[in-house]
Amino acid sequence: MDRFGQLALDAVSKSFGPTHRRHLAVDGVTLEVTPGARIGIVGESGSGKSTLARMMVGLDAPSAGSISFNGVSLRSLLRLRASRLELRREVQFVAQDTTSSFDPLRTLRDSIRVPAQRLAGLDRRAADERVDATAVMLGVSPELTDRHPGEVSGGQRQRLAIARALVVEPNLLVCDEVVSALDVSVQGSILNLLKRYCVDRDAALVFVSHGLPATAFVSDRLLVMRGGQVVEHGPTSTVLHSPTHPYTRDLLAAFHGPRSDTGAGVDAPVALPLPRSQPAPA
Amino acid sequence: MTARNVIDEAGPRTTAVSDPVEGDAPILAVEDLTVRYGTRSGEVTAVDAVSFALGHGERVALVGESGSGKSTLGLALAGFLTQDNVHVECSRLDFAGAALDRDTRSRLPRRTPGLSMIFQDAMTTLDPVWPIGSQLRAVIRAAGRADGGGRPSRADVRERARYWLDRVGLRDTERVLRARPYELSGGMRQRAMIAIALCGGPKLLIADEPTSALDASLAREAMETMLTLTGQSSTSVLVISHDILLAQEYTDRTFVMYGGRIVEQRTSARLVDTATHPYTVALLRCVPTLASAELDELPTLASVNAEITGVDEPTEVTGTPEPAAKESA
Amino acid sequence: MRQTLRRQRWWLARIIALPFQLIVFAAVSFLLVHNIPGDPVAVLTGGQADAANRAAIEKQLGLDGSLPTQLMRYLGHTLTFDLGHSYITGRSVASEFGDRLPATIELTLMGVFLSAVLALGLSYLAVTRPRNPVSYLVRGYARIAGGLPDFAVGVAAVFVFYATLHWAPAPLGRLSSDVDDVPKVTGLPFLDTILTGRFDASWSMAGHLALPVATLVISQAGVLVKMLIGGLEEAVDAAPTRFRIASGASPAMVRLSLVRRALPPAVTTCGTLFGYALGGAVIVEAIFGFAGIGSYLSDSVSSGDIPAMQGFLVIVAAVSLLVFLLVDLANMSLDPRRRPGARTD
Repeated sequence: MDRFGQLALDAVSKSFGPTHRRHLAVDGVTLEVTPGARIGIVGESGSGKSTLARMMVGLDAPSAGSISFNGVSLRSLLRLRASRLELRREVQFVAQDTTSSFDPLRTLRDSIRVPAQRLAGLDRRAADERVDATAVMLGVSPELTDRHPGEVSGGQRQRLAIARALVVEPNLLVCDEVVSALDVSVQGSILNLLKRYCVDRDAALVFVSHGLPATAFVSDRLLVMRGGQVVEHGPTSTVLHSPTHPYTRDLLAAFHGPRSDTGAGVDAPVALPLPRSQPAPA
Repeated sequence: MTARNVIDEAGPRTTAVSDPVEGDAPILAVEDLTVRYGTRSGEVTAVDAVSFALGHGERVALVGESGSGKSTLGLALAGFLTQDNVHVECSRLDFAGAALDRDTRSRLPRRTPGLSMIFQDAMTTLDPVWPIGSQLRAVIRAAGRADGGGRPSRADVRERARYWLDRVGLRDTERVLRARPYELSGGMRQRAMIAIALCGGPKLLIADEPTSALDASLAREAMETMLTLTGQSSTSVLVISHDILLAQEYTDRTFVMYGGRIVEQRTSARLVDTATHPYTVALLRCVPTLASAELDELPTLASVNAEITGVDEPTEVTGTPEPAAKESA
Repeated sequence: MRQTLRRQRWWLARIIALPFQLIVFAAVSFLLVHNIPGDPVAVLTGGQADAANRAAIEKQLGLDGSLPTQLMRYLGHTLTFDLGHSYITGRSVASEFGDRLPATIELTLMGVFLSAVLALGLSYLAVTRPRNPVSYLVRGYARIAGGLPDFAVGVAAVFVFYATLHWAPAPLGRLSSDVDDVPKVTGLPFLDTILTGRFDASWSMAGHLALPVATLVISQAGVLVKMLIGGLEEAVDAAPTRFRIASGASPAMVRLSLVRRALPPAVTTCGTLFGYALGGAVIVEAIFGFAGIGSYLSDSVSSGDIPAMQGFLVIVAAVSLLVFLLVDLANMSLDPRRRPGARTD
C-alpha cells in the first residue's frame, strides 16, 4: 500500500439503537484529511465527535456514506489481513481511556512492542530500541515501561498510549480526548509533542476534544460539531476570531482566560430563575 | 514544617487571609490537619499539617492537581475517611463554633449537621435506584425534623421539593421528581444534585470537583447556580477543583495545594497578579487558553520554572508530581 | 391504561414468559430421559414379554407411536398437571410429589430465609463496626464460606447436640413419637400445625427442625455473608452513600439506600443457593429421618421409573424458574436500571 495520501469521508452517518428509537450520532459529515493537515474536532458530549474519530480508523462502521483511504474504501482494506496491517501501519488511534487500552497482565513494554514488531516489521531488539526512543521522546523514563499499566500514573500511562501509536511512525494519528483527563501541568508537554511530531514528519493529525484551547493549539483547521453535524469548519484562527455559527460563539464564550478585573465574577448578576413562590424557610 | 510556615514563606498575606470576616468567628477553623494512608509499602502522607479558616458566607477555591491531597482534605473535613488504614489527626477542627467530635468506631460515616457536600459526577453521585423526588424529600423531611418542628406534613414536603427544583432552574418539575438520575440529561442531573445538597439548609458546602464531569458551558451554569443559591443563604462554599481559572473566577479566596500542603492563599481576584509560589505561577501559566492557539509551544511546568529561576534544569517543584496517595479512598 | 401497561411491562412480560419457558424445558427433559438407555417394558416384565404383550404395555405406558407423537402427548399431559403414573407403584407421579415435595420445600425455604436474614445482619455489623469482636468472627466465618459441607455439619450437629449433650430430640422425623400427627392442609408441615391450631405439634416440630435448619444455614450462609460484606464495604465508600449522608438524609434512609444498592448480587446468590439448599435438604432429610422427596428420587432412578424421573425434572425446573423469576423481579424492584428498556447512558 502507498504512504498515506488522503482519507476522505463522504456524507458519513452513524446511528445507534433499535429502529424505533434510532439515535443519529453522526449526521452526514464530509471531510478530507491530507498529509500534514492537523484537524481539530471540538464539540460537547453527545456531539458525535468520538464516533466520527472511531469511524475514521475503522473501529466503527458508518451506517451510511463512505470512508476511503487513498481512494480505496476503508471497509475493503479492513477485510484482508495484509491490507489491514498496512492500514494500521499508516493510521494509528489513541483513545481516552488508557486503563482499558492496555492489557493489565502484560508489561507496558510488551504492549508497546507488539505494533513495532508486527506493523513496523522490526525484530525484537530493534523494536525494544524503538520503544525506548519513543518513551524518551514522550518524556517517560524507559524503565517505567517494564511496569504493568496499574503501576504508573494516569499521565504516564497516557504518554505511553501515545508512544504505542507512535512506535510505528504513522502518517495519520487520530487522538480521542487524549489530554482531557490529565492535569494541565502534564497536558502542555503532551500537546507540544504531538504537534512537533506532526510538523517534523509532515504527518496528519485528527485531534478530538471538548477542550477548545488545547484543540486550537494543536490544529490548523477546526471543525465544530453539534448533534452529529459539523456546524463550523475553517482555519483555526478564522474560527477563533470570526466564528459564523452562534453555537461556536457560545462555545468560545465558555473558554475565556483568567479574569483580569477584581471580584466582578462573584457579585455579577447571573441568569438564574428566581423562585416562583415565596422562598420557603431554609 | 507546618503549613503556616509554608504560607509565610510564600509571601506576605493579604489582609483578607488573616481575617476573612472582621469580628466574626470563622465557620470552619482547621489547624494542623494531617491525613495518612497506610499502604503495603508504608505510610503515605496525603495531607500534611494543613491549617486554614473559612468565614461565614465566604467562598474559597481549593485547587491542585492529582495527588495534591485536595480531595482527601475535603473528605477528611466531611468525616468520610473512616477506613481502617486512614489516620486523620488535627489539633483543632471547629465547625460552626464548636469542635467536631467524630465517632471513630463506626465505619459508616455520620453526618456533620450543617455541612453538605457535592461530588464530581452527578450520574454516579445521585442514588441510582431512587427517583429524584424521593431523594429530595428524604433530605427535606430530615431537615424539618432537625429544626425541631416535628415531622413536616407530606404536602409541605412535596411543596418544598417542587420549590427547590424550581430554584435550581428545573422547570419540568413533575417529570424530574419522578425521574431517576439516569433518565435525566447531564445538566439536569447536576442541578438536581445541587438542589438536594442545599435543601437541608447547610452552613458550609464542600463541592468536590463540581464541574469536571461537565462540558465547559454546563460547568459555568452549574457554578453559577450553586454560588447564587449559596449566596442567597450566606452558605460558605469550599470548591475543590483542578481547574484553577474557573475556580478562582467564582470565589473570594484561592488556596493552592501541592504535595499535601496549602502553598498559597490569595484573594482570588488578584491571584494572577499576586501569586508568588513557583508552583502556582507555573500552574497559572500552563493552563491552555484560546490565546495558546497563537503559540508554537505551550508552556510546561519545567519551561516556566526554568524561566523564573533562570536555570534550565528541572528543580524539585517541576518534577511531575506523582500521586502520593489515592485521590479518593 | 396503555401508559400503565407500558410502565408495568417489565414484570408482566417475565410472568407471561414463564409457562413457555416451562414447556421448552419439559420438551428438552422428555427428549433427554427418552434417550437414556434401558427398556422399561423389559424392566416391568422381567424380559418375558411377547410382541402382543409388549405392544399393549407400550400403549399403556404411552410409549407407542413416533417420537413427535409421544412428545406432543407428553406436553399435553404436563400442561394439565398430569405427570403420568409411576411404573413401579402405579400411583400418579403428581400426587407422589404432592405428598413429599412441600415438606422438602418448606425446609429449604426456612434454610434460605434464615440464611438471608442472618447474613444481612451479620455482614452489616461486620462492615459498619469493624472493630467489634463479633465482626472478627463473622469475617472468619465468611472466609471459610462454602467449605462446610451440609452432610458433615448435619452429622456433627447430631453427634454434639443429640448424642452427647442431649439437647436436641432424636433425629427420627419431624414430630416426637408422643405427638399425634397433624392433618394436612397445605402440605407444608410446620405451616399446617399453625393453621390447624396444633401448637403442641408446632413446638415439637420447632425442636426437631432446629438442627436441620441450622445445618442448612451454617453450610450455606457463608457465601452470602462473604458477598454482602464485599457489597456493603463498597457501598459504604460509594459516592451515593456519601452524598446521602452529606446532604442530610436521616440515618435510617442512609442505611436503606446503602443496603438497597448492595443487595442485588446477594439476591441472585440467594436464588442459586435455593438450588443448593434443595439438594442440601434432601441430605438433611436423610440424616434427620424426615419424610421428603429424597428416598423417592433415588428409588425411581435405580428402578428406571421414567415418569417419576421426568416428573421430577419438570417440577424442579418449575420451582427453579419460579425462584429465578422472583430473584429477577426482586432485583428489578431494587434496581430499576435492571428493568428491560431502562435507558441508561
